[in-house]
Amino acid sequence: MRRALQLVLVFVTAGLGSAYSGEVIDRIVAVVNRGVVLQSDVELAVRYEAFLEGRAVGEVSDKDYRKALDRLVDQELLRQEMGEALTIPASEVQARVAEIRSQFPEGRVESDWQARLGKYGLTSADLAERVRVQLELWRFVELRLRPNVRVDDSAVDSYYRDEFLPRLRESGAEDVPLTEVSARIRQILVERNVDQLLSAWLHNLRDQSEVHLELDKHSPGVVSSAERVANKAQ
Amino acid sequence: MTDGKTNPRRNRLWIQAALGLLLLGAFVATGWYFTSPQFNRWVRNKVIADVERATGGRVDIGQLRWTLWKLEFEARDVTVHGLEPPGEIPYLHVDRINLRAKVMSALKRQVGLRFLELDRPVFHLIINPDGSTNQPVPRKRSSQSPIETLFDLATDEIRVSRGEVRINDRPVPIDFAASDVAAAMSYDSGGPRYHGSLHVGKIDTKFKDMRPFSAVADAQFVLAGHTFHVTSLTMKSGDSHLVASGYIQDLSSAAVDVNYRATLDLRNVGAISRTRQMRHGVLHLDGRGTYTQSAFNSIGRLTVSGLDWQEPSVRIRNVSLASDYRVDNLRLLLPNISAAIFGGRATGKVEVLNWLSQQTASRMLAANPRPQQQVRQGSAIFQISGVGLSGIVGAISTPSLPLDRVNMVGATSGSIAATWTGELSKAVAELDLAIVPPANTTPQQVPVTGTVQGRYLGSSGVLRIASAELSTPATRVEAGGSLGSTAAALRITATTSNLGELTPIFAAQGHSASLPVDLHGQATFDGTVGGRISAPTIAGHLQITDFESLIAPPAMLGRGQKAPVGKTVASEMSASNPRTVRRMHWDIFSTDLHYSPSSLALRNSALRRGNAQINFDLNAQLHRGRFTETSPFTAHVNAHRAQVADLQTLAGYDYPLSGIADVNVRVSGTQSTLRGNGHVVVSSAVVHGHPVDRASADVDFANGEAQFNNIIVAQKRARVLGAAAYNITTHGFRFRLRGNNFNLADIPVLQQGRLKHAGLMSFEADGSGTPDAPIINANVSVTNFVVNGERAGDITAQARTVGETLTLSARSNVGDSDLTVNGTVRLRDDFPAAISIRFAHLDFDPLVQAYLRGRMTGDSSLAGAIDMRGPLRRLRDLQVQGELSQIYVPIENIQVRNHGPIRFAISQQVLQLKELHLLAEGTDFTATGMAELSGERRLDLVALGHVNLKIVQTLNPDYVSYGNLSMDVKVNGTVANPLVNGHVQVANAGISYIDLPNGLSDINGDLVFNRDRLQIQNMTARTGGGTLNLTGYVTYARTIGFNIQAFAKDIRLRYPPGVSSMADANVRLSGTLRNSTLTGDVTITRFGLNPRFDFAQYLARSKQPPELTDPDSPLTNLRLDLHVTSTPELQVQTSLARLSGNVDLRLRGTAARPTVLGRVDIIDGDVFFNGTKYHVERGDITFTNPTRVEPVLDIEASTRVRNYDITLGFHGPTEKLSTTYRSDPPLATADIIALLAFGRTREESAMQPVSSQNFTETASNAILGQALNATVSSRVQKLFGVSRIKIDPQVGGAENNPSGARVTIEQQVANNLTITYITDLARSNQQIISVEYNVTRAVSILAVRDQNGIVSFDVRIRHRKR
Repeated sequence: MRRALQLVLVFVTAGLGSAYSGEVIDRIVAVVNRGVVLQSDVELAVRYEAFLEGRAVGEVSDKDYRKALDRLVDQELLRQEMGEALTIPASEVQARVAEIRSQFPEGRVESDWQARLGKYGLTSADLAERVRVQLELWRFVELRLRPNVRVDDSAVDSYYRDEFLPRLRESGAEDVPLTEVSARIRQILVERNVDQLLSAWLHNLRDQSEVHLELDKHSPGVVSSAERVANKAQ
Repeated sequence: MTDGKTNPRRNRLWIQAALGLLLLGAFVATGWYFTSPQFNRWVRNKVIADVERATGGRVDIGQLRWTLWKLEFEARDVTVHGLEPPGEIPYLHVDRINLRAKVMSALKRQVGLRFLELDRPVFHLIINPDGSTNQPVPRKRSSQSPIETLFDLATDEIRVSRGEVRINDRPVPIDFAASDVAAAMSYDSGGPRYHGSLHVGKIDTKFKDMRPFSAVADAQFVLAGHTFHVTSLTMKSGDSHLVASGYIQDLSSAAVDVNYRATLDLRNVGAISRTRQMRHGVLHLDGRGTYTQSAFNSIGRLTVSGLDWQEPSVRIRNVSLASDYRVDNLRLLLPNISAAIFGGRATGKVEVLNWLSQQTASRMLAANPRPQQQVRQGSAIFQISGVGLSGIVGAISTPSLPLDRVNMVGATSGSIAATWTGELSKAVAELDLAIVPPANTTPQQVPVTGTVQGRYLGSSGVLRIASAELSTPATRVEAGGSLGSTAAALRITATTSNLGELTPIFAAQGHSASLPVDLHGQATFDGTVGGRISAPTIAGHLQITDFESLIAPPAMLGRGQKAPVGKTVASEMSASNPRTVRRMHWDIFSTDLHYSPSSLALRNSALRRGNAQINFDLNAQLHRGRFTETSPFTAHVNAHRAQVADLQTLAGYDYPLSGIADVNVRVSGTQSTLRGNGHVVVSSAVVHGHPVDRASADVDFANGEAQFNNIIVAQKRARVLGAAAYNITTHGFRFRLRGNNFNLADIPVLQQGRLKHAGLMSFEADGSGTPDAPIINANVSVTNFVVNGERAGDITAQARTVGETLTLSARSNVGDSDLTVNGTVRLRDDFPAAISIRFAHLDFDPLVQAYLRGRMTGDSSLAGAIDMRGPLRRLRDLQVQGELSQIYVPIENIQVRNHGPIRFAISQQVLQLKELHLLAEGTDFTATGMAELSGERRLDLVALGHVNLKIVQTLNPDYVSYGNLSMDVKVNGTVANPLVNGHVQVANAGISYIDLPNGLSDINGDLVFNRDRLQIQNMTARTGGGTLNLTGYVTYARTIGFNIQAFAKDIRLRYPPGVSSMADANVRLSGTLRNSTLTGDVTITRFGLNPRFDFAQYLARSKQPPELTDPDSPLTNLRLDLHVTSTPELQVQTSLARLSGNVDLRLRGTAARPTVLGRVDIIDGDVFFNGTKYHVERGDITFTNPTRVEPVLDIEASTRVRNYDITLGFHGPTEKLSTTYRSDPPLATADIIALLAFGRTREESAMQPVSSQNFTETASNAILGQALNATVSSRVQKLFGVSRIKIDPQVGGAENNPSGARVTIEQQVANNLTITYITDLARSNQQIISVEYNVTRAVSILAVRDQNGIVSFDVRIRHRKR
């Protein structure tokens, strides 16, 4: 009898569960190898980007949402390559946060600053975390790719002759000797090469990895993704 | 009874006798009657009557005779009178008729004709205007049939001589002999008409002055009234035959209508008509014609096939043509000739007026021309197209000008128009021809383009060329003038860049198949060609540029052998190996040429090559265009600054002589009687590798001998004077030379190798004879002979020839040394010699030092004797016996000396070491055996004893060695593949190589030789303070290989310089000398840096291009594959560096050029970098470049400047090192850089007067900063989607050096004292000097003298809060 009562309770509970499902607090939107990207990650990233760019949350489109998801997949791939996280000193994070803050008029007054953060559904901790993550990845990319970059003198000459001088002349300025600007041109070319290497690397990583976007399985939700971001922000 | 009674038998006898007498009487009477004039007259009348009856005419017979028993009859003056009037030539008259009959059947009384001869028969037919003739009419016999056989004649042979058929006084000569002749004629009184037939089995006849010919003929004819109808006429002779039929309708008009068809074998026609030019062909005629007494005409069509026409100057083959023809007694017309000739076509028209006229133009010019007879006039016009040039060239080629040997191809088109008056041979032809090359040719063909305009004059056989231009791919000829079969006057300008096109013509002239000239430039001839074609004369200017002369070496001719007459050098050359042909390049050859078959003259000739030039004139008589051994010639040769090697090549010699020659020689005569003289000067010469400043001689040629008088050879102070002569034919020579002041130090051959000689040499030498039987006397002396700086005394040597024997003697002595050489050489055959060398107390230090590199520590001494016997021309048969009674060599203070004599012998190139026993300190060595000096170079040696290894280092000073080595070794096999068996023991030995950081000491162990392998047994050594155990083996069969395993413990390695490490190792060395590998593991247990070791300098040095290493160095061929690790957290401590870390490296590459892969982790420490001391907080160095040592840094280091703790990050390879800057208190990067560079922040710098940026700098900075910003922003955007990021454009920019280029030197002179010196390169007198003294860690005093000369002091107190 007791066994029969237990079975009844189980079925009743199961039936109630299916009839009244609870609120979805988060969702997996992408599986990257053994890692996942949660919907909340994407929303945070979108809000963070909107915050930095000064865009209203309402302006975020599904297209922006998808782009942010792509970037998060890339970041996840890099993070898996990185293995152990690089240690970013808290001061560096704070410095970067302070630099960001200094770029906004609201940054001068704490309350204003907090209000602006809140407008995007962010906290100071969220901002610091995002900055930390970005600095981590940035440094990792620099460490991995920069040693592989070689810029020879001919490339510097070519840039000087084909890009720099024409633009300088357009501005109406006189020619500057190559020796004066070669170091900076070399730096630009290094950065360019790093950029190209990064693109190629990410492409290879995607090819070699198993990346499943779960976005399409939740299409009703996707449609309202931007709205969710806006709602969260409010 | 007998008397009265008649005997019947007797009566029969009487009757028989009486009958016999009666018969005899009758026979006699008959015979008498047959020979009686009465019978003769009867017969004559009978014959006359019969003939008259048969012909109808009156017959006269002058005389009739016969010989019955021969059945031979002869009639003379037989005349048949026709109806002609009296006084006319009778119808038929024969001077003599001779016939022989034969009895065909006695029973049937059939008699035939065997032979019929008509001598001078004259048949006269008169055709009257009314058609009647003088033909007599046979008398008709009424009782007979209307057709009466007039005669039916058959004879085996018929001969008509001097006959004549006269028709109306027009005579036609007849002269023939025929066989098997049958003729019959019958008279048909019903017509009335005559039927005739004639068959001639073989007729031999001739016309006029033609050759006689034979023919077979059949004819059928009918003569009726006024008509004469030849129903058929066939005639056949050889391959020619004629079929005709015709009739004379009206005998009164004598109009003949004929249809004919003839096929003529033109070869036979040519032979019969004596037209020898006509060699082959068939003529077909098919036509009809009419003939009247006043005129004739014929029309028809002719075809000629396979016509060959050959004249001395023209040959035409296989021509076929066809044309209609129309001919009458005035005109011959071929209106539409179409001919196929040489692959092309010719169409045209030929017309000849008065073609039957015998009057020629010359006769026309005669004083009394007959106006009624017109002169013959002809014209021919032809258009030709596509006629093969090769055919035309072949047609006009002659043996003397065989143009057909050049395989010229082209298609000729144009027109030929000829007219003539009188004979065809006097024709004048206008030519206008164009030649077009074919589209495709084979390599053997020479395509020709050109035009020819000219006129051919048949009367003189001359072709007058108005203009002719012919060109091939490489040759162009322009010509004008006249060209005839007997004479030519042609102006020619010819240019060619490929003589190969003309080679076939030269070959056809009997010269070489290939010209001895290889032309790269052009050959140009501008001149005239005259004389006869078969013997032309050529005059003009010839110039050849950029060519090589090909000269066969004299070795092709045996000694004393002469070049065969008529063969050129090139022909010899072509028969020999082409690789032996010597080529010599010339820039230009020019000459004025005059050639005729009897002479050749070259004037103003010049051969030039670079700066050298040979000028010469040559006059030679030729025999039929050839230069022979007996051809006299004169030549004057003048060469200025010519290369001796080139002159040798020209002369056919190849001695090792070089130099610059000036030659002036005149010669004359023939090759065998050459005479002349001249002068030769050679400067800057090299003879057998010996330089000679100048050599000169007067040269005389006489009697086949070249004499060199007043020879002077000078080299520095050395002089050779004398005279010499050489007979080119007998190879005999004689010379007398004196030389002195030769410094041996100036003779290169005596300075080669390790021995350097010096001394003054002089000599006197005279000789004569031949190379096979020379006579030589010479004295040679060398004073102050020095070898490698070691004085060897004076040397005197003499050579004297007495009879066949040359006696040699030489002597040298200095101090106690004594060296004598004595010997004899028989100067015949192979020069058998017996030479002995004796020496005592001979100091051979130079020899030993040369090979032991100056390791001598005293004077050496050698005594002994060497005897040599055998032929000097066959050194391999030389027998050598040697015995060294005493040898003493001090090496590295080890006195090596012999124990007992050292004896050896060489026989058949086999060295026999009979006895060798050397003693020295720690050394006792004996060896015996043999070694072949050639062939397989087999060995059979036994070595026994012990050796002080210090001797080893004398062989190569790069090694340092000591110790003892005991051996008992046998060597067999060959030098290339020795087989060694035995045992070697090493005791207390050591060896080190100069390029290796560590050497080996305390080497002890055993080595066992086992054929081609050296096994290392129980070998121990010490190196770098540690121990080393060695096992393995070395092979030395064809190449030296090894496989050695080493276990090392606590070995200190001082490499690279300044770095000392202690390590344990387990490594293996394997491979060969050319390719070896060192593998294994090395564990570093301790690591130290020299206080002076600057890591930055080491890295900078490693970035330099690798030095060129000796490819044979063992280090170059030693590949590394070592795994170097460290003990955990290896401590590195030096006075300026204290680091701890881990090492995990792979050492790759070669020992000469190592590379490193792996990683070094630095945990903590201080380093001295770029002259500055830094505290390394953390870092790692990775090596990833597999081609060189290239560390990639990732180091965080901190230092302190003023009151700022600055942390620098060094990232990336040292070449592209990027540096990050942080500071405490925090400063902007630019401030940190400014602080490091200038000792103050930007804010402080702003206090300094800084020149404001001009517009260009601002624009430049903006553009570059924007570009950098865009690049980095792109990446940030890609990763994080954030575009708002600021990159300070001043980083790395001009702000780093705000006031211009500066040099900053910071030197920490003590732990607490730092001096910084900053100078502005752009401005003078602007130096900043700062001295910072750290009183404590927190307090420092800074003294600064700024660029304005103001000295200030700062006291700084640092306090750091955490």
